[in-house]
Amino acid sequence: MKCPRCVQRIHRAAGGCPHCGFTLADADALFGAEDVKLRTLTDAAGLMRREEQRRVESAMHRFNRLFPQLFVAVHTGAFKGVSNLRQFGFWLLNRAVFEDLPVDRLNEAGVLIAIDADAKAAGMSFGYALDAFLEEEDTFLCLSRAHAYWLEGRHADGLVKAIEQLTIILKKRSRQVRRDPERFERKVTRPPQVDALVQKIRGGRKVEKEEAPKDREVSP
Amino acid sequence: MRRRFLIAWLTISSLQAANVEPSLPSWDDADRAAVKAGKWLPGSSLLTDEVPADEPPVEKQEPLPGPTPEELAVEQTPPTQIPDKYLGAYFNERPTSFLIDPQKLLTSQQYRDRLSFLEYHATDSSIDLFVYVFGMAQDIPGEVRAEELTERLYSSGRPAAVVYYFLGAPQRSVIYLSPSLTDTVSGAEQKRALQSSVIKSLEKADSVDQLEAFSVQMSIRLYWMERMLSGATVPEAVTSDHEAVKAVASPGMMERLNKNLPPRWWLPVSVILGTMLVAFGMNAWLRYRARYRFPDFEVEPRLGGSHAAGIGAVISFANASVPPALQREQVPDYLRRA
Repeated sequence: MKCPRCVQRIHRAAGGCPHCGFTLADADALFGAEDVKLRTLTDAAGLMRREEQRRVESAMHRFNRLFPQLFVAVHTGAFKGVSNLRQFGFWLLNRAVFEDLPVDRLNEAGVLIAIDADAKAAGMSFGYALDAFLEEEDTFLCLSRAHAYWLEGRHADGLVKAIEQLTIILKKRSRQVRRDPERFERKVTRPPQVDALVQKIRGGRKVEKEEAPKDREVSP
Repeated sequence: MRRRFLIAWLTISSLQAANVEPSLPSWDDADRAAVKAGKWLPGSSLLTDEVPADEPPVEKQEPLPGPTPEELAVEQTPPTQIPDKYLGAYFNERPTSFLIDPQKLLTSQQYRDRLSFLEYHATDSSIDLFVYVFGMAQDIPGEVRAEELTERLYSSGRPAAVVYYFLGAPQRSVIYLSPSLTDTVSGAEQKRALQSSVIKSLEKADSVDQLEAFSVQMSIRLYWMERMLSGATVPEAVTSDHEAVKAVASPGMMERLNKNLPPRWWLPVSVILGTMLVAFGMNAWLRYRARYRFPDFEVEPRLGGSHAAGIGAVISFANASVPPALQREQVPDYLRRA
């Protein structure tokens, strides 16, 4: 888990980045504090023709069909050379209201691919539901699959490839989590607090002390 | 000894004869007097236009008469008329040969080759192909009504296709069918057959090669006409004669299977194939129906985000010469903004 601004590691349930103090409020200051309505495929930068958009949409539908809890969204835009893709992805997944999604699919289960047409950069963000199952390396692998196509300006092809790669990774994770769910759960649940451990140890000793007199009574 | 003496004497006498120089010319008294008086200049005969008396005078040659423009025009344009003496051979009666060339426009070898193909076609097809060969610019005489003629000459006997072929100008070719075919083969189909044959022939440069390509393609089209007469449909375009020959020659897959596979193997093979097909279909269906789910773990919100704080990779695709791993963005955004 990393901070969208300083890219430093942060601990679970951090209210703000311990390194740079970043929170959602900072992203709101950049992009707006109100919710935004948009579709799961929003080509604001105009990188794709209608036919290409259809291909991307069908790839997104395939993904949504295979993973009934999840969804994938794509947003292209021009950020005027300011590379805020991490912050933008973080902000959009928290502020977006996707009109074409069924109500049972919350933003927690979303994967967002954002493309900055000006800076020629792309980023991937995901919701809390995928915290345990997706690593940064996985998202890099997906973007790498699309890299060659994006270099040639074939944005739709690249997006389809990225979604296909994401599908492969998540299928694998789904099988793994079925076999060993605890391994994934450990990644997101809080480690036992030190105070609780101490109390437990002390409580154990108390029990032993309480039980000891009984033994003495029994013994002659 | 005598012989040696004789040789030595001959050698010496020949050397003496070689040493004798020719005598110099000497002046006549009259010539010398004329030169001194200035009446005669040595070499003056070379400087005059007068022909010496001892040389015969050169006769002035008149220019040869060239061809007149009319003659040139006649030679450049080939004759358009078919000589009368050949008309009877062309149009009087049903020909006994499939290739009609009374003007001998083809050499005997070329004639034999083309005729042998047409005869082969006749043995293979129920529709005969008669090819009348004319010159490139020749016209069919106006009094010859080709359609009526074909109807009259080819009303009996095997069905026939008659082609008037103009050597070197295949695009002028005309086709007529015998009365037994005209009712069943449409004019459009006749036209398509002629067009495809002309197109094939125009692929060749030589006029005789053109005739060969024309007759081969026409033979193929007649084959399809024959199929149509027996109830089959005629394809719009028979692209290649080789393909058509293949289609005729190669039997279907099922026929080959019947020949190669003994009947006792049919049941096991069909069971195996059926099982494989069912397994493939089941697999495809299961894959289509497959759904992948994840357990819901409780995740505490981070950074004030109520839905998401999962930050994935950012990659740049501005440079084609650098691999993706080197274009991975790991620089904090606030540094980039600065």
